[in-house]
Amino acid sequence: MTSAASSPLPLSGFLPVASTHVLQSQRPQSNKLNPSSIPDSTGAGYSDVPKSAAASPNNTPFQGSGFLSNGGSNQNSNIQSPTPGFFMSNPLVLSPQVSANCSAALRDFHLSDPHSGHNSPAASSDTYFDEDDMEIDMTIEDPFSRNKMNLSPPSHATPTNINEAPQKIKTIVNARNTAETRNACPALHAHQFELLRTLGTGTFARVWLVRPRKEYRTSGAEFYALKVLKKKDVVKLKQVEHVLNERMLLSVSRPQPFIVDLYASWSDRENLYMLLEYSPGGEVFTYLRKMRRFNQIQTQFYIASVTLILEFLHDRGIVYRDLKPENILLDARGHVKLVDFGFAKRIGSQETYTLCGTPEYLSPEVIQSRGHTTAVDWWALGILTYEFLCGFPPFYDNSPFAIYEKIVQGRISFPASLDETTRDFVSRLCEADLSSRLGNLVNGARDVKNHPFFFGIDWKALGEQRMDGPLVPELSFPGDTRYFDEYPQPSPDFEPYKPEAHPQEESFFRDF
Amino acid sequence: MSLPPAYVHERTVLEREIQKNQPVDVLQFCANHFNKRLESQRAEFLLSGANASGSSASTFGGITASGGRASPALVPVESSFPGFNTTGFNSAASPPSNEVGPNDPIIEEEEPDMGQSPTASTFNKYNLGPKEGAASLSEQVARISASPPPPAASSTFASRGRQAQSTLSPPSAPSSAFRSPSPSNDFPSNYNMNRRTSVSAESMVPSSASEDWTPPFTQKTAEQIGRLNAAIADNLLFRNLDEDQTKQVLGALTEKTIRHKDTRVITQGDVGDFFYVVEKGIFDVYVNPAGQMTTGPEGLGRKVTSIGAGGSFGELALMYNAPRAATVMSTSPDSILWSLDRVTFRKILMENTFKKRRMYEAFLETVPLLSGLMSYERSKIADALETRSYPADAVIIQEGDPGDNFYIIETGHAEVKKRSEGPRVLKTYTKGDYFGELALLNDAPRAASVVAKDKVKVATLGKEGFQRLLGPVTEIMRRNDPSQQQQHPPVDGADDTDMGGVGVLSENYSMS
Repeated sequence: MTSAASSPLPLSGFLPVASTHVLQSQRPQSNKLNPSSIPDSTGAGYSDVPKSAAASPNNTPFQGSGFLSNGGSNQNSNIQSPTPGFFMSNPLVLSPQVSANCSAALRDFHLSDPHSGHNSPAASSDTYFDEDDMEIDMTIEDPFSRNKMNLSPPSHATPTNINEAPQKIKTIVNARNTAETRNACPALHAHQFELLRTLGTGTFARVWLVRPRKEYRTSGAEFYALKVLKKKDVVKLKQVEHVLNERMLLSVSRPQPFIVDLYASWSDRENLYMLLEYSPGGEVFTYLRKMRRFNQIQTQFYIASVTLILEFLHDRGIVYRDLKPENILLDARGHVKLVDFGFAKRIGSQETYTLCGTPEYLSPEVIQSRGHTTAVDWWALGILTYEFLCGFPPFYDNSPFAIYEKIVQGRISFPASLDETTRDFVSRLCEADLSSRLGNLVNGARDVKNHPFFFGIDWKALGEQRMDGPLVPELSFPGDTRYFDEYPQPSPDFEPYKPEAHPQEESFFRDF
Repeated sequence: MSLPPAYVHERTVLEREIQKNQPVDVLQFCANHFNKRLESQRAEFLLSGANASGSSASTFGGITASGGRASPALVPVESSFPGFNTTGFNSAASPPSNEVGPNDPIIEEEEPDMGQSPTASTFNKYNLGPKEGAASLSEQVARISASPPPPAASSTFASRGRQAQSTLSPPSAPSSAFRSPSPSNDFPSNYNMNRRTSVSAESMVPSSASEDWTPPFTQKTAEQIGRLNAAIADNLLFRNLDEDQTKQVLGALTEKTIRHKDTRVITQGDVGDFFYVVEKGIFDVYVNPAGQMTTGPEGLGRKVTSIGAGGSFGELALMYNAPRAATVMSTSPDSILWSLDRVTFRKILMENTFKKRRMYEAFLETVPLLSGLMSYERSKIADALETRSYPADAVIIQEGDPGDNFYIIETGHAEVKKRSEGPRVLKTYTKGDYFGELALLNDAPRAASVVAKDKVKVATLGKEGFQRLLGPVTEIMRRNDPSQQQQHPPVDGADDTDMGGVGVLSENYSMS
C-alpha cells in the first residue's frame, strides 16, 4: 500500500496549525471518529511528534466531504449534524501522536482488494459507489458461482417471477418491512447481489457487504449485509436449530434500533441467506483492541445500550447467550447494533441446556451444565464491562479449560484503576449465586439500570437514540467498510452439499 | 562504565520535557516531573498487584495430567514472586521505577503471569525506596486526578461528580509521547487479543416424559468404580454432580483396549468427542506448536507429559466440539482406557437436572404458602435452590434458632423433634416434603428441630435470596387472596401453626 499518498486523510498532524483550524470550522461534527484516529496501541513511533501537531487540540483529519460530493446521488448521507447534550463535550479528542501515526492506522483500516489496483478507501469508494452504472470488478472468488450455473430456482420458490421485469430489492424489503418477515422470501436470489467484500466470518457463515445488481437496485448507495450460511457445515456441526433460532428471533426482535434488522431470508440448494441491515461502524471489538480500553464514558454508553437490548430480549423470553465485543457493531451514528443471534433462543421462563457462547464469557452454570436462563446474559454483561474498561476479560488463560476453572472459582481481580462503583457493578453481575445476580432479581433489568454505575445516563434519550454515540465513525458513503477488518478469501469448497442426504434438515430449511 | 539504561531513559524523558515546556523554574519543574513519574509508576504497580493474584494451576489445552507425571514446565506454579505482597501494598508499596512516560497518569496493567512474562524481571525493581513511602495512596490518587487528564478522557466528567475516578480510568488514547518502549508491559502477554470463536455443543432438548432415555451402562467392579471416581472427582465438570449423575456417568464409561504400542488415541487438531480415563498403561502427550499434528518426523511435536493409570485427558470434548489441543499416544501394548462421549455425558447431566428442576417446581407447588407463585416465579426459585447434604443425625434445623431458610427434601429422611416432647419423633419427612417455609414470612424462632435420620439431601433457599428473587412473601400471598390484604402475617393452616414455624407436609410427592 502506498500509505499517505493515496490516503484521503491528510495527515493533519503535519498541517500548519492555522489550516487545521480552518478545516475544523468547516466541519462541525468534531466528534466523528476517524479510522485513523483510533489510537494504534502498538506504541511504536509515538515519540518525536512535531510540536505544531501537539498544539492542535482536536485535529480530526478532514475527509469524507470531498468524496461525498463525488457521490452526488447519495441521499442517505451518513454524516450527521452534531447533537450536543448527551455527552457534554467531545469524549474522543485525538491525541496528536495518533494522527501523526495516521498512516499506520490506515494500513489496518483501509479497504483493500488484493486483486484490484485500488487500495485506498478513496479508490475503493469510487469503485463501487458513485457511478450507478459502474459494476464492481469482482475478481474475488464468487461463492455463488455454483448457484449461477444451476440456475434452477430453489425448490420452494415460485418460478413465476423469473421472467418478469426485475423487482427492486428495496421494494421487496420495504414490502416486508411492514408485513411478515417470518417467512422465507422466494423473490430473492443470491445472484441479484454483488458481493463487495467480507465483513465477518464464522464457523459456518460468512457475512458479505452486498449491493443489489444494477437492475435490482434503486440507487448505487443501497447496501446490505448478507449472511451466507453453508447448509453443509450447518448440518455437519449440528447447528440447524441454532440457525433457525437466529432467523426467527431476528424477525421477531424488530424493530429494535439496537438490534440489527433482518430484512429477509431465503435459501437455495447450498446456502441459507439472511439479508441484514449494514452497520458501517464495524465491531466494537475493533475499536476496543485498537484503543486498548474504553474510558468510563464510552463503557457506560455501550453497556447501557446493551442493557437496553437485554431488557428488550428478556422481556420477550429470549436469551442471547453470546455477548462479547465481537458481536456488537456500531451504526453510522455510533450506536450499538447487536448482531449474530446464532445462540439466541426463546426460552420463556424455562431453563435451557445447550452449552454455547464464548469461553471467556461463559457463566459458571453453563460450564457446569446446571441448566441456564436469561441470567447468563447478565453475567456476560459483567465480563463485557470489565473487558471494556481493562482491555481484557477478568477470566483468561491459554487453555479454555483453565479459563473455566477460573470462572468456576469466581475470583475477579480488579485493576486499581477501577473505582468502587464499577467493581460493585461487575461483581454483582458476575455473581455465581443466581439469587444474588443483578438483573436476575425481582426487578429484573431495572436493578441493573438503577445501579450507580450508570450515573448520569438518560435512559430515555439513549433508548430513543437522541444523541450520537461516544465514538462516531467517519464515513464517506453508506457502503464504506473502513472499520471492518480484512478477512481471507473463502477457501474453495469442492464438496457440494447434497440436500437429498439430509431430508430432515431440509424440511427445516424450507421455511428459512 | 556506562550509566544504567533506566537512568538514561529517565534523563532523556526529562530532557524532552524540558525542551517542550521551556520552564522558567527548572528545579521546580524537575521536581514536579519526577513526582508525576512516581505517581504513574505507583499506580501501575498497584494495578499489577491487583492482577497478580489471577493465575492458578491450569491444565494445558484441555488435557489434564492428573494421574500422570506432569512435566514441571507445564504446571504453572501458584503465583507468588519475590518481594510482592498482594495484600500489603496499600500502605507500604513502593513506587516502581521502570520506564513509563512522565506525564502519563494512565494506569497500565502489569503482566500477571510470572512464568513467561518478559517483564517479570521488572518486578525486582519494586523495592521500597526510603523516600517514596511518604505519600499515602489517597494523596497519590488525588494528585493523579488533579494532573491534566489525557485529552481523550477529558471533559464530561465534571458535572457527573466522578472526576477522581474517571481520570484514573483507562483512557481512550495513549496520551504520552514518551511511552514505554515495550508495549507488552501494559497488557497480559499471554492474553490472545484476537477475535474469539464461539463454541457450542449440539443442541439438545430433554426427552419428554413419554420417551424414557436410559444412559449406556457398562458393568464395572466396585474397585474400578472407586478408581474412576477418584480420577474424575476433582474435575470441574464432575465435582458438582449429584449422586445420581455421578453414578450414571461412571456407569456410562466404556472400556477401550489399545492393542498396540504407539497408537494415537487422540490427534492434535482433530475434532474431539471423547473424554478418557487411563485404566492401564502409560500414554504420552505431544503438542505441536503449529496447533495440529503435521506430517514428517517432527509432526507430533514436543512430548510434554505422560499420563498413567488414574489420569485423564480430553475433558474439553465433554463440553463442546473443539479441536484437540494435543496428541496422545500409547506407550505399551494392551493399554486400557475408559471413554465417555460428549453427547452421553451432556444428556446424563441434562436429563437429571431437568427432572430435578421439574421436581423442585412440583414440590414448590405443594407449599400452600407459595401457592400464589406464577410458574415463572417457581422456575426462578427452582433455579436458585441450593443443594445441601447432611449425614445421619445432623441437625438441619435447631429448635429456637432464628429461621432463615426453607427446605425441600430431595433424598433421605429427616425427623421432627421438640424438646418439650422428649425423644419422641413427631413426624418424619421424606422426599418431596418441605419444612421451614415460615421462615420466609417472619423471623420467629424455629419451633422444632429437624434432624437427619439417614443421609439427607435438601434443596434450600434463604429468606434473603427468596426476597431478592421475588420480593416479600407477604406480597405474593396477598395476590392470592385480596381479602387478606390487611392481615399480617397470614396463616396458612392450623397444622402449620401447630408445628410452630417448621411447616408441615401437606401431601406426599413422589417422583416417577
